[in-house]
Amino acid sequence: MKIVITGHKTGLGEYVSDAMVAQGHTVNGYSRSTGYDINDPDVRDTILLENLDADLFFNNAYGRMQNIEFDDIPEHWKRGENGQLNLLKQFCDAWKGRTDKYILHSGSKIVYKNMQKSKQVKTYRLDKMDCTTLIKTYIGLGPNICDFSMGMFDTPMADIWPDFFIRGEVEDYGQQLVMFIDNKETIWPREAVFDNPGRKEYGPYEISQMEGSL
Amino acid sequence: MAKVLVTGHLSGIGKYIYNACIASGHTVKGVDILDSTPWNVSVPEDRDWLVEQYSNYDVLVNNAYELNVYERTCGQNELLKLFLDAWAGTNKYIMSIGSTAGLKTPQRDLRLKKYSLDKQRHTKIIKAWKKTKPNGPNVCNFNMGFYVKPADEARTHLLGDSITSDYITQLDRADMSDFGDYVINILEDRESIWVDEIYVDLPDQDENRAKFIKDFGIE
Repeated sequence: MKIVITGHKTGLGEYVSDAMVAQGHTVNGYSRSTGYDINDPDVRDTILLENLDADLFFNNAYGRMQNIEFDDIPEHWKRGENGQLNLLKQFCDAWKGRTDKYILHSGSKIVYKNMQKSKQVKTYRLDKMDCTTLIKTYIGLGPNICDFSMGMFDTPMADIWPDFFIRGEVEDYGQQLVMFIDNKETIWPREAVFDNPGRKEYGPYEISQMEGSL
Repeated sequence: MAKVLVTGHLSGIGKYIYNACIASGHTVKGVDILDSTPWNVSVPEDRDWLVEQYSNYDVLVNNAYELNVYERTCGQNELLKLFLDAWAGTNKYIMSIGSTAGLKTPQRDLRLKKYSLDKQRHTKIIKAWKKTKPNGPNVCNFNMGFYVKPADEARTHLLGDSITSDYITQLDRADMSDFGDYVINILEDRESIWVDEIYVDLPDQDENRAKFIKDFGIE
């Protein structure tokens, strides 16, 4: 199987990439650290054109959060260029009607929680919501899409968040994704919302701490 | 090892989960309307008894469902609400079995319509609970498509011997064990990662669903 993964050099993308390579699959990985910034339209076109014949696209890279301190003025967070959303749409369009293709999208559970007081978080949430909304419009049109929403886990991207947020483990989320991929021909999740047990909805304490710090 | 309570453990996916939990070494209690001492999810006294007897358990698999077109409510949803209240603020786990049928409502078959509405209500109850009382228990809203029972089990009587039931048996459906294995995986990993909500079905199912939607006037 040929798999294309964005953000394959860190965190969840790296975990899934390594697991798929270990299983003998062909993995085409694209990361900012290897010269592929999905916020660049030319890069997105390259990724798409090089992988039209792929079987599965793991739309993992978010693209807007690297190297941003939590307290930074959110100039980098302006709405408009959401690389993950645009790349998702390009693959959905290119694979329209192709029920033999699969797209796993890295979403966030934050979609289900409104945090209006944090501009950074609000932007992140809106970006992820846009992706979730887009996926819903493509349900039934082929390819098979899974909106995989996650809670916070221990990955470099999570470093910008305050320490009081409890992190899950990359392996735990990664194993779920690998299971989805392994079973994709017999059963497929169109939507899945994961989180760390025992800390629902980020917890009132965490929200109050975060909003109080801004 | 956990103490696991399974409703509807003598057939279908409830039986699969029940047996898998036993094989994993958990302490498992099953209740079923087909049991020698019948337990009926639709009877309020039976539901109350279950909460009283097993609120000290760790995991509830809320699987038993009985279709009743003459009641607005359904037993499975009422039992869910009882356990949500009994386990409020705890770190216990509820695996509640929903259906992708809850995504759309068929208009042409009364029984299927009621089934769909019950499963929609099931999702609404869980979402409302999480919104107002987010600190436990951990609830998984596990929604699956139609599945094929093992050959040695009787055909589902959920929708009765109806045209709809015959129609559904003609659809492509997943193997029950595929869904069951997902449930077991979620339960086994519950202390490290938890699924709040999931919709699973066959791949390519949407084409099937489109035909189903058209044929049954689903809106």
